[in-house]
Amino acid sequence: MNLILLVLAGIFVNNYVLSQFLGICPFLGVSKKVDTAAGMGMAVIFVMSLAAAVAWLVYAFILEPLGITYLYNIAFILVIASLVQFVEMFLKKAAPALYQALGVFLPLITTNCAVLGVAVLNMQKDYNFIQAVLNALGGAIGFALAIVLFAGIRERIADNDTPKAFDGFPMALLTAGLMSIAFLGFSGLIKL
Amino acid sequence: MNMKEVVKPAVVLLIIAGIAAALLGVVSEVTKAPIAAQTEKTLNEGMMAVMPDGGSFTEITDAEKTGTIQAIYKAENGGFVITTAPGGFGGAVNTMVGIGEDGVITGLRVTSHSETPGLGAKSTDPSFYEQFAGKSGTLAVTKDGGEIVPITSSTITSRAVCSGAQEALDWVAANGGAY
Amino acid sequence: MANPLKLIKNGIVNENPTFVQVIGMCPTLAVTSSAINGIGMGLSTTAVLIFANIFVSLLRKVIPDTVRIPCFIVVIATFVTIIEFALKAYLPALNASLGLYIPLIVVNCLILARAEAFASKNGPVAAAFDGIGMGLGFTIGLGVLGLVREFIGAGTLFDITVLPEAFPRTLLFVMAPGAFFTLACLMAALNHFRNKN
Repeated sequence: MNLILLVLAGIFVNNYVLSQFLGICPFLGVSKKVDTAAGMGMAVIFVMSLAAAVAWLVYAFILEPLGITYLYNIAFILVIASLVQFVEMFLKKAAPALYQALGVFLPLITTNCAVLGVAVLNMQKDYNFIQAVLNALGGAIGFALAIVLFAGIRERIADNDTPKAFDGFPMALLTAGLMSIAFLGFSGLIKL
Repeated sequence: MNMKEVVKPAVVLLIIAGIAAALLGVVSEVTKAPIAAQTEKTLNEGMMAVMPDGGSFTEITDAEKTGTIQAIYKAENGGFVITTAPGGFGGAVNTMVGIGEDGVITGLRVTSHSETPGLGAKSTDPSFYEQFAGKSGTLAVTKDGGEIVPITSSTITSRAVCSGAQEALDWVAANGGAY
Repeated sequence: MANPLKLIKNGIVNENPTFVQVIGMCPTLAVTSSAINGIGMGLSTTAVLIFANIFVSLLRKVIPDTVRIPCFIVVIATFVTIIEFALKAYLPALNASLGLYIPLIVVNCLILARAEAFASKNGPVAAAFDGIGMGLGFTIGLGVLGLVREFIGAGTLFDITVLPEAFPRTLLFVMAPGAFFTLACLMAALNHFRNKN
């Protein structure tokens, strides 16, 4: 039961983009069209869950036993970077169709701070393996939901006249702000 | 692709990572003592605030921790300082409670929280936490028939702090005599 | 070698990371609920940026092209961890309020972008000044954002109350949505000013 709540909290209450500002770069950068936003969302769900799992294993079975936990930041970022590379190579060979859909988004994920953020949060909160993976999964689904909704709104705004000074980023930021208010409505719903 | 093209980059990366790891090892050794001192200083200041005449404090490690109790400290004057982490609006509200030998609260502080700024975050205001000093028995906010006046529009946070203090009171009532 | 003053001005004005390049948005939005937090984050990032730039520049002839990104990341992560330990040991209050966002300086696109675009192509002195300029530009961006949000949302500047108690505070501005709104309005104001000229 608590595990289901953990996932739901990640999606709605502690939404990484709209309430914790993790993963803002791809959120603003790849959200002009719903198709690409959905592709980015899928790629993030895939990589983030996998990265959280591997980072947890590295921390529990390498860094902690050796007493070198102070290297966690370097270790996590290298795990994520090499994992992204590995996933890219694997998909290219094993699932060309999926690679076609997600390929261009994969390199961008290395600098998505939500991925590293989840790994660090899991460590700080002392989550066990299952909690860590589910926390990442919830957070990633929340990211995908937010970016797809956001892209939908931006597609519509693009066809309308906006004040000239607000063209581009300011308009996108205002939209994100309004979405963030909507997501504030979820806060306090789930107690963990 | 010949071997040299693969091996050289890998070796360079390995050397850089090795130097980085060694450097961080040194930095972590150097800052270990100051960090430990800072953590202890923050803890001691908190305990002094909730129990000004407690003297020195020693942690009781073998006690049974009920509810959200995080740590229990025994004061020189016979009282207890207990840290709890009840669930508030935006996550755990870490609360430190001082309870005298007679089972009366000597002081209470919210040490860290992620409540809404300007609303639940006001739990760190003296006008709220000073109400708890001198209370004992059963605690509740006025809405639930108790004496604690909740923070305006932040009943959930206020209830959380009350339940944290209650857990501490109950622990002292049940186990205080044994330590 | 380019003029140091020009490099610094370039970072603060012409290529300001926050308002012109719009990169490093996560900390920009996340920690600017008060001016102190914004400036603290800005200066921590500046420190990492300067050291990372110098070392990337020194190592630029040794690092093979194929593994340059992982090498840059290792250099950056090292300095971030050093800053993290230093803050924990000597400025614990700032460390507590910046929390998770200190380790996340590693993935601040600004630092990797400067390593790739400037430090790996220039000498260490120029790279250091580029780091100072970009870092100050970033700090100013975060500081301004923090000042505005703190003033509207809490009625204080640097924790000193400036608005009379009776004046209503717009709490939304110190919460998440306020970050988006404040940055949107500041950028729109700059655009307006630029369009006029």
